[in-house]
Amino acid sequence: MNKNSISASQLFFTILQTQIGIGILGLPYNLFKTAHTDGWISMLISGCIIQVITLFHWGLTHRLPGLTLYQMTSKLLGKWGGNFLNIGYVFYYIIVSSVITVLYVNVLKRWLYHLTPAYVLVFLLVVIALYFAKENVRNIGRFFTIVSVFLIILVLLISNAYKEADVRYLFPIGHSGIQNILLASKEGSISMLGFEAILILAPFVKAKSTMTLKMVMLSNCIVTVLYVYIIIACYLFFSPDEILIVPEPVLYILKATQNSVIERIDLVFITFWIISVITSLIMYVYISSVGMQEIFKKKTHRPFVPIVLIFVTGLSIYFSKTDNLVAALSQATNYLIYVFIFCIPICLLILSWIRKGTVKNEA
Amino acid sequence: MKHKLIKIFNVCLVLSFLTGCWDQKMLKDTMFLSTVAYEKQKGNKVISTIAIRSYTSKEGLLVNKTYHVAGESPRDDRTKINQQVSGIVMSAKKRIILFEDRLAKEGILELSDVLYRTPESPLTAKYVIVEGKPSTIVELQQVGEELIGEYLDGVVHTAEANSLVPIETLQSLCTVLFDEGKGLALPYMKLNTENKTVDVIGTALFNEDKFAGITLNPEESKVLLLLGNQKDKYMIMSHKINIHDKKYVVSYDVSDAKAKMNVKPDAIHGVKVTIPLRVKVSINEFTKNEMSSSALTKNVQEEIEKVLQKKAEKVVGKLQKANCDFLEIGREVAAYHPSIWKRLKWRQDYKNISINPKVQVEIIHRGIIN
Repeated sequence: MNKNSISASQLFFTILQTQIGIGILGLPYNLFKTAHTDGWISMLISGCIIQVITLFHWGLTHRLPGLTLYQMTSKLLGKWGGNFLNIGYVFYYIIVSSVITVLYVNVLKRWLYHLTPAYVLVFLLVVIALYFAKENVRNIGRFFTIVSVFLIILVLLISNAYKEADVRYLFPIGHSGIQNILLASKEGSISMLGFEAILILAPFVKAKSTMTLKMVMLSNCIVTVLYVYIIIACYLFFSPDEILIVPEPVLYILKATQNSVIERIDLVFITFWIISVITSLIMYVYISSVGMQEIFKKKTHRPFVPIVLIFVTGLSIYFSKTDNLVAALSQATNYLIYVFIFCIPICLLILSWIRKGTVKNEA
Repeated sequence: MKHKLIKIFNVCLVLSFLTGCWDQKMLKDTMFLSTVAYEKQKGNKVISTIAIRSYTSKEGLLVNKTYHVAGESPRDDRTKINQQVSGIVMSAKKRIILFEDRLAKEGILELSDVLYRTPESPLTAKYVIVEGKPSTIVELQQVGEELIGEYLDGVVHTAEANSLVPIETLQSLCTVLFDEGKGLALPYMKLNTENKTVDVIGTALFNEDKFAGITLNPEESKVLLLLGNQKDKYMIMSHKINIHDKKYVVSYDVSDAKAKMNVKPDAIHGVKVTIPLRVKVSINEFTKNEMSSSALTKNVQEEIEKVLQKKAEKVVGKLQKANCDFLEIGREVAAYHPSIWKRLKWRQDYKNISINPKVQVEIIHRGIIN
């Protein structure tokens, strides 16, 4: 147990890296569809919503200290109910991992590798996920901390957009109406997923419970600020109607701006972006295999990592065939997110309050 | 032993990834497309004239060749070119795209889709509108020692640096075209048959994505850029002015220029716009050979002001006639006067609003003699 623990700062970077991932590229476009150029306000609201939900998740870890999500479910719902829910979570995380892989393949195929077969791209990603996800939390945490340096490069690359910005595109602020802004914040919240890893990681953190909360909330803040920065960059660069035809505005900006040393900055960006994608994937595969370990009552999660990845590979290769399948899969996942990230943890928290007496007695 | 075998197996596995790449493009098989010229042919076909450059030949000699093809669309033309060349044609190094003025009148966006949709295409390439047949320019092949692609790129670049034409890349013009409150102006060029070169003869004004048929001459283009706050590094102007009933020529550098925009609501046409333009100039040439007295300096200053004021009014008139909102008045109204913007139908109402440029000139240097 002692060897397998992470410090508070490692927790912070782990959550941060899990949150930042595939969503960066399309986020400005997705928000624009409903909230128009007020998308950045929606993102700020999403940030607040996520902070509240984080409180619920943390509440759960605070009430049942030393337990991972998979152990909490058994504790609160009994063996059968717990196992049932755990299987659900394992599948949910397998699907989320597949969505990440599918979107990654889709972007790479359209932007870079037109001829490279999808299975090769999937395979390359899966091998790296296999290499890291079989490790313990500490090793993963260390890796995530190191690669966080690259986030600075992402920020610097995007600053290119501000060279040709027209501030007038943001005005008049709030013209799309409160309703649309709120609706779009749903989309923004989804892009901030990753904080829920706290349910698995909390028992491994060598710090006070309140410190854990602080770190996760700090990570949420930074992700929100980063996303707002990216969103505003896109909204200032493109004229409003133009964003609707550019699903990956971030890459498009970088493709359009030219540097005297590097002609295609978008390709450099993709390279660093892939690291963020990989970190998210590693975390989800890890969580999923820990779930399997719990279901089968094994000592380590290692043997389950390849099993999870076989599922992920199969699903990704199938769904990455056409753009429509990609869209269908990510749409379906959005509904699952509401159930598994927003509803169930809150229900579990309420349940833990109701069963306060019994839980204590068992312990 | 078992451990070693696993290691060897792993190494082999990794090695299998290093054998190559599906998407590799070898320099030796690649033909770079340096310039394209589009022109109209009867029956809605588009003729592309393409200059291609490659490094395939022996001893690294550059090959430069032009091709003509007629197809249904630019992409179709490209496909047809592929049938005629030995190697893969790549457009990533394309710098300049020439449009026949007749074709541009039918809209440029339709023909540009392929450039925006394919990831390899260079979004920093530039559009130029050509008076007459652009194929004749591409067929020059070479101007002096320079190949036509580099030459055109250089010409446009120089025109931009001298603030003769607005700086508009493929990407930035798309941004302008998708914004109702902005208007597009592109470099206007023609073949100089005497010198076998090209000549930048001003700017072409666009109504939406269609060339309006109205152009500005170089002097007017410069004033246009001043009004739109788009002066680049240099701007040199020269005018004939009257001092005490005698004509002199005065030339000057525009050192600094700042245009503001005041938008006021107007009962009849929605908005009333005044554009105060402050220009600071330093004199290079004045054929009276002296400018010692401050009274004379003031006189010259007023004369320049008069000339610029007149030109500015003419430019604004042409912009409105072309229905080209180059000064981005619409964007200003939309951003800061949203209630007025909602009432207006900008594409129709822009022509009728009153736009008043107010030029103010200040001479800040008089050169190294008095």
